[in-house]
Amino acid sequence: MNIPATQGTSAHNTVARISLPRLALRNLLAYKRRIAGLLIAVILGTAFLSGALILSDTVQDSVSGLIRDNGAGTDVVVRNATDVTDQPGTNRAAIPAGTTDLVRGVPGVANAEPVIIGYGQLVDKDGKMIAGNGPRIASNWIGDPALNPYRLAEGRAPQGPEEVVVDRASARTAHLKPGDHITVLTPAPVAATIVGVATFGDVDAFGGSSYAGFSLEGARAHVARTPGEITSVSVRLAGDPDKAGQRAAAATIQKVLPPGTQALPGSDATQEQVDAVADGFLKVFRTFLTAFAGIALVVAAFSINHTFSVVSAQRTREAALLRALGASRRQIRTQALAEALIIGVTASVLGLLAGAGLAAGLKALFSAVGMELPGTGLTLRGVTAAIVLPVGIVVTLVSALIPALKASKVPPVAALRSSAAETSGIPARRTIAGVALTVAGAVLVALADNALVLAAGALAALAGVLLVAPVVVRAVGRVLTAPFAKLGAGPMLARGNVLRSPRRTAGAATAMVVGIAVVTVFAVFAASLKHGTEHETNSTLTDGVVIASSTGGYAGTGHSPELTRKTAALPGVAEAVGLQRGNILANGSSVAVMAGDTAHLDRALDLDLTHGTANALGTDKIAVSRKAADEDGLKVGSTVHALYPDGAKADLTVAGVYERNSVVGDYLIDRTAWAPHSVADLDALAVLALAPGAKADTVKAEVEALATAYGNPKVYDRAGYVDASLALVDMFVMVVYVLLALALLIALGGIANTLSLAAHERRREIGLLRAIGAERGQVRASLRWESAYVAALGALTGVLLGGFLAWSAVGVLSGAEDIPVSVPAGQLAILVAAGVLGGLLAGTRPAARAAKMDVLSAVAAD
Amino acid sequence: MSGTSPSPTARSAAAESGGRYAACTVHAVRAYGRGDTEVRALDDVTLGFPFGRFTAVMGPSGSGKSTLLHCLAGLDTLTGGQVLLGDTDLGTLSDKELTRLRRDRIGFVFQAFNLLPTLTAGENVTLPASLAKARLDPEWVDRVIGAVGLANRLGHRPSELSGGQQQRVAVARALATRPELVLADEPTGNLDSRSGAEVLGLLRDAVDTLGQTVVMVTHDPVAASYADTVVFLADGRTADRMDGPTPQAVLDRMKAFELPGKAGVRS
Ligand SMILES: Nc1ncnc2c1ncn2[C@@H]1O[C@H](COP(=O)(O)OP(=O)(O)O)[C@@H](O)[C@H]1O
Ligand SMILES: [Mg+2]
Repeated sequence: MNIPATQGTSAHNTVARISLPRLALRNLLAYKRRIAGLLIAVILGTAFLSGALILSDTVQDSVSGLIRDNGAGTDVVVRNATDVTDQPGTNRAAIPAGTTDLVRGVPGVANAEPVIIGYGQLVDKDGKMIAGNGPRIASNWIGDPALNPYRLAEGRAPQGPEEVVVDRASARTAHLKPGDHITVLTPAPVAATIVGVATFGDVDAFGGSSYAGFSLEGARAHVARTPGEITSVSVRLAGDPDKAGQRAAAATIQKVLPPGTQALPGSDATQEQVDAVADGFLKVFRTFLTAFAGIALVVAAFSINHTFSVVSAQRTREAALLRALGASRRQIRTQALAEALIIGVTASVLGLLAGAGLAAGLKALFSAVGMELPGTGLTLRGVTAAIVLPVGIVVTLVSALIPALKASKVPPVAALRSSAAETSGIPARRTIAGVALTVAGAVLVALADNALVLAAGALAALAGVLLVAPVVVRAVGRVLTAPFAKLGAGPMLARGNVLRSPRRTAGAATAMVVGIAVVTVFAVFAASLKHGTEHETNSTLTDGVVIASSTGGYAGTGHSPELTRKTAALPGVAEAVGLQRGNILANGSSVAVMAGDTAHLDRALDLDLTHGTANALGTDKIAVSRKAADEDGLKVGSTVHALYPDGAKADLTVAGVYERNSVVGDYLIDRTAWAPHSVADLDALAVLALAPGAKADTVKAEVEALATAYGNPKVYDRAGYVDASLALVDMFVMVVYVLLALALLIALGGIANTLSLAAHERRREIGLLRAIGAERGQVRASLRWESAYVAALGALTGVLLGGFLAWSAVGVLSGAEDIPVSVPAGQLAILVAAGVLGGLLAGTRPAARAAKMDVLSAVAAD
Repeated sequence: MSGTSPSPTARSAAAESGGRYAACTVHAVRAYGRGDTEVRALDDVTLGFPFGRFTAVMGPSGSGKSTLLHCLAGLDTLTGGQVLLGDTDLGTLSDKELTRLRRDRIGFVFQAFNLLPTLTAGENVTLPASLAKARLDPEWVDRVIGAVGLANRLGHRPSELSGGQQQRVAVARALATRPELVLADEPTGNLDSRSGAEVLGLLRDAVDTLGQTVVMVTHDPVAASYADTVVFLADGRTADRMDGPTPQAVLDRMKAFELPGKAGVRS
């Protein structure tokens, strides 16, 4: 494995010999710039993946931890057996209050407490709702600390029916303290006095939720739908039993329970909730983050690959020299791969650690845009390392493979020719393959009718574009950059450097192309979706007034139906349609329904019915969206077997099929059908149609006046509601943009990286420039321009490619909804500008360094 | 017609330099390193380079020739003494001012790697002017380009030119701004004798017909014979000078350096 030392061919055998691994190591140390460049490229890529995993583990851990704390002391839970949804934050229907006494009578039960959980929106002293991103909980304060996850931090437990304990987070937000008078909307307003402030275990609140704890008497009166019903019974067994003990006790308790009620071991109940959160929100969250980590990794892989090929060009001569001295191809290849392995391992470990920092940053970022994530500290699981390290190492090795193969193919004579490191040849094969792939991809994308074909086409088109890019750079780069060359020496020199090796230029821009294309697809998609929803909501609503406590964020809020009824009586209101949210099992699958005043629904809402009617649905009819009808195979006259949360069953006949689902969702039933079975009597929304001659402004003011007594739910005119209902989409779009911006940062980092490698490689030229009178500023300018050119090239290509893909994707993925494509021209312009500006910034550091170079040593360098 | 002035007359030479010399060095010292490891690349060098003359600088490897040229060009700074370009004391200039001086008042030709590979020959010639955002005198540029014989090669890139052609482009660039001083460090070192002769003829022409002042470092006695005066350096000091050199005379003088004891170190 040993090869002769490269320096000096001494005849003495005592001269130190160098092994290949040591040569690789020495190479790395000798080229600090190179190693730094490669390390940075890999670290950037792996850090994002690691950050995404750490963040979702952290959130999962803390959510699970909270849930476990919540249920820690409860050995058995007795609750309604009917399950229509496993969405976290939703409650099952009620059970008879008498159940508690039945359970108390069971031997082995140390204590059983009735639990009444319901809706309880806190309204501060000034009449403002205390908002938050989680359920607004009202409950009964349980005296047994084993059964109550809340701990009093201040004051005392509630005694009278109008006394409450509130969570410390809400207390802090609204500056509440014991003795303050507040209102709790349950949803009917309850004037209450704060007697205590509680923490959830050690934390201020359970996630983003709020808590109002009444006395049992108070909860019966205000929170329970009927005083004779409770939500569940929490049971503490004698002697702190293990799981098996809990199970046995649950079985015993089950025997005394009325039908429709179940006894569940506490540990199972907790696990059920943990799973629900893990499968629901956390799964979405994790998938979402991992998808972006994936995008970031792809972008980084291109960046790493390009960096390696730049570096390989730099060492072509060195490889040739080794070959001339008798090193075999395999040895060259092995040396290059050994180098890559060292870099891959080091950088992946660093990236894994950097990910922790990134996770902390992302968390802060989410909270900055209004998405508070629970949890303190960071969770670094072994599995994260087990994913990140191999991925980082493999991506690095694969990226290094092609350049390594190329380096090993260098003919030994190349060492003797002092050829320029950067070659400008573009193999015709490459171009032909590129054109073929691009055309094939474009055709597939244009004709695609399902996501799979679309994805295949998109990949082919992307690969094709990347392959033809050098030819395009050569063909159009000269023309496009020509106008700038007149601006001064900087842009002129940069132009020459961009055009000197179209392949390298294209390579440097690749990560940018991919990054910007993804952002563009997303931007067009989001804009189309938003536009479509906006248009639909606008057409659905008449020019009336809408009451909505929450248009986005947490769904479980609303106002008292009483307010809806009162507004109906206003002279300016022709029709008031209150809408409640709920969940049922429809033909066996869990669906979200809206229950509303459908008697004269069409006076207030234009659902664009394709068949039948959505009016007067009564207790036995349902209307469904065309989307739901298509998916479930329903048509007017079909039967939907419904199971309500309280266990009641009903057969509903489809009365109508409608197009517009942005306001009423996919399943619509009447309030009268829902009321007997609902969990909380809460109008999420009320749509008010104006009487002839009435003015929206006037009516809005009148409704607002009425609403003051109901905690001031928000009242909108049509335009206002449309805007507000898009706020959630906007927030989501923001988060996605921020995440994608990170991918763009990686791309820019790649540009900066290769630029500084290029500057290092060209130090001779830069020295010459300085020697014949280029000022430092001019050298700086030329490199900054170069990176701006590259970024602009990447950004423009990315926008074009992404725009084309999005155009097709919107059509394919929106399916039956038929959303028209809308191009956010302004946003895309900003995107390209940001890319170019980013390029300029990315060039700043390498440019500054190059400009600082010592002229004499650069001129003297060989 | 004294081309160079050894130390005894240095003071007067410096005093008069404003009138007779395009550039001169006065007790110039350039030391590298400190203490024990100090190397004096230039050790008290006082030289004048008269207007419109072609001076060759010779000496063994490591004798300080390149250092002298770099100091004259404002690429390197002295650790003692002065370099004057016309009336300008280079030691008083900032980095930025030195850069401008190189751009506007000096033309430099290196041994190799004189051209930016991304620019055409023509663009390389006009590069200093582009950097200065200055207009070139078109007549002068035409004359220079005509003189170097590159009129039909202006659109070519350096990689498409032979070594000799590349050096001629470099000479054209050095002359294009009509600098006060043209400096060339072994400009023919990498060329075969025919190409070398072309480049040397060109420098000679620049002096004779264009009135330029040229200082050239060389190892080659034949190259030195193109100059009006040859200055010999040894160990960072001026060892000798020769007016109207012939290759044979230069060669003989060079040989003297190689004989111990006869090296013309100033006594
Ligand atoms: N940057 C430097 N650091 C240390 N010593 C240097 C440096 N540059 C030149 N020298 C030394 O100065 C002396 C003169 O160098 P140089 O002017 O290049 O010689 P020449 O061009 O005549 O061959 C040599 O001994 C050389 O080693
Ligand atoms: Mg030299």
